[in-house]
Amino acid sequence: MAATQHTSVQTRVKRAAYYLLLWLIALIFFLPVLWILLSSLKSTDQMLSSVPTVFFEPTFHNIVDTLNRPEFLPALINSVILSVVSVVLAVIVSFTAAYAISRFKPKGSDFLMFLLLSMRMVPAAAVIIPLFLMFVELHWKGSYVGLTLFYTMYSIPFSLWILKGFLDGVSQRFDETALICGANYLQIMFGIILPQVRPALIAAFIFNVIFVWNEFLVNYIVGGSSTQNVPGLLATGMYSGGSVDWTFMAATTSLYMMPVIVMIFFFQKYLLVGMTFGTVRGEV
Amino acid sequence: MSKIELESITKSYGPVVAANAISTVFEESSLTCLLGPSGCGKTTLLRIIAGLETPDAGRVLFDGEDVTNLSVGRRDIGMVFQYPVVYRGLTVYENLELPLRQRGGGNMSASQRKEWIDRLLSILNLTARANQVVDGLDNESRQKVAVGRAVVRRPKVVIFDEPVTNVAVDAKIEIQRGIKQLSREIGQTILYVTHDQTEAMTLADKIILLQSGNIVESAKPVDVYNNPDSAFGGYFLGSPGMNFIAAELERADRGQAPGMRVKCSVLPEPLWLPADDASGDLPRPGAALIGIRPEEIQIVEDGTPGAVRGRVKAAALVGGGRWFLDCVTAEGDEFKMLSAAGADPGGDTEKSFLFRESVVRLYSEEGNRIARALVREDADVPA
Repeated sequence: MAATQHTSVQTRVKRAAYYLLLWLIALIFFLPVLWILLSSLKSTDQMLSSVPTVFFEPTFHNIVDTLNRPEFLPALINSVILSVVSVVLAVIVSFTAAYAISRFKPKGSDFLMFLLLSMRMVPAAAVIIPLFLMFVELHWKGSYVGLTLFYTMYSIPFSLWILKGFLDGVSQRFDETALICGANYLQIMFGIILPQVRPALIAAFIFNVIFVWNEFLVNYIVGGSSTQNVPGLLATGMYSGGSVDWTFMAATTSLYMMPVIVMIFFFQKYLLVGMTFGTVRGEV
Repeated sequence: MSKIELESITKSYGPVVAANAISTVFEESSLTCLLGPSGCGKTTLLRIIAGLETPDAGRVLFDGEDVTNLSVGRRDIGMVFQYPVVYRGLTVYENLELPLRQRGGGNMSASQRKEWIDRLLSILNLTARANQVVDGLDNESRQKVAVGRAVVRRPKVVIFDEPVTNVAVDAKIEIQRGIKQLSREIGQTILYVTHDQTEAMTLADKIILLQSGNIVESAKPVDVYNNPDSAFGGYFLGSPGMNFIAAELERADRGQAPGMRVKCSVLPEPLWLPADDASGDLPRPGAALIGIRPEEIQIVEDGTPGAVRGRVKAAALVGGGRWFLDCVTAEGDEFKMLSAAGADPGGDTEKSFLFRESVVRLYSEEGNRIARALVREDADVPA
């Protein structure tokens, strides 16, 4: 009896130590985010004081200022339009492609899947000059169409991988049952199979939205003033009067992070699906 | 509600022959069980009938009409798979209603439709869950929903592909009972694939036993069990299966009546096979097999007339006080038997065994049945 009590105390202490360590690591990673969030609520003087101010009177002055800037709202709208439209397109294309590959297994589809994913391994900086020249020739420079298509293309491989993995796990008996009932392939795909892979669709959507939401390089180089997103605005609007406008930077960043953080909070269970390429299945 | 005919259906997957020129008839409103070991081609045959696979050669006829090239959706069938297919996000009731909305429900009024679905739900014991979304259901209830959905349109043929393999015992019996009741009420033609022989015995009007793409047995369950056409059928059905013991055939006419003498280590007196009881001419003399079911063998008191000596090698309790015994005759022929309820006969003990002569069947060395029964050599020859 005494021995078991002793063990349980020891286990509890051990566990507490683990948790403490984990919390510490998490806090270290969270610190920059916290710094940005707090800074957005500080005055310029408080923010720039050499001894960091821990206790201060929060002010929404910076946030209101940022929201009142004429270029902020259009940039935010651009961010929303570009990320949502391109990722929705990408998910639709990926779902139909993944269905075809999973069910009909056309020759060479394995190689195709590999090829598509390897595209994601090319650093954007390596393709930015050819992309720029191509977009100029196509008159896509600075257009929504050009940027949306680029982001769609960039979001497809990852979505395809997640969805293919998930669709392989959906029994073909679903398709066959529906076929027997007289459904056509469009009805089967969107009416029967799509509800089965909803977690994968959400995972593909979230992961790619996060990517497009924070994309800077392509937007900056091949986009134009009318298609500028918030990261682009941050880069160009940070300097005022020969120095960095720290309050603007902090406030814009805080505002910009919020929608994604809220989205992740509500859909966090789907992130695992995405991170494992759909290999962890089950009821999500 | 349709008669299904298969004409020389052939299908191979590479070197594997899943159906070897299979021809058979599934009578209208009958329940046929397709039975056989894994990979014998039973599922392939069903998928060809459903239209999910195309045969390499041969024809499928529904009520005399050739449907071989008809698409799956136009064949008017219902199918239940081993995997319970339910439409997520819909309630149990909606799952059953969906096929009626899609097509075939046109000639039913809304109230008739509701009445019919309610009836199905009650047969399948799902009434209490009618308004529950299927996502939250367990495997068993999902399979019941799948069964209901397959029959709701009253299709010509309903195909079940091992529907209760992944289902717990209680629900298994419930689903089987539901299927039986539905088949009686709707009079559908039902094809039922299973590898569980007890299930086949319980449900079927007719059993078709397949082996490597060929039909080896096709008869009523009781006939397949008592008088299998092949040694494979006898061995496959029953738990344990029929015993096949080496025998010797020699020509032995009785007066004017031509016949064969059958000698075997488990028969103290040889039995006699009259010519007119054999299928066709007299079989070749030489090696043959006799078939006897484990429950047709008894342990008797030593000295009982007609008994042979043997040894129990191992015994295992099978429940109900009965024992499954692994035995060997004094001459080294092995056989299995089920003892009557009683005390442990013990392993490695000498016993006397009585083989019921009246049920001894005769098979050729290749496993084809020669005779359903043999007679004593001194018995009266039937006129």
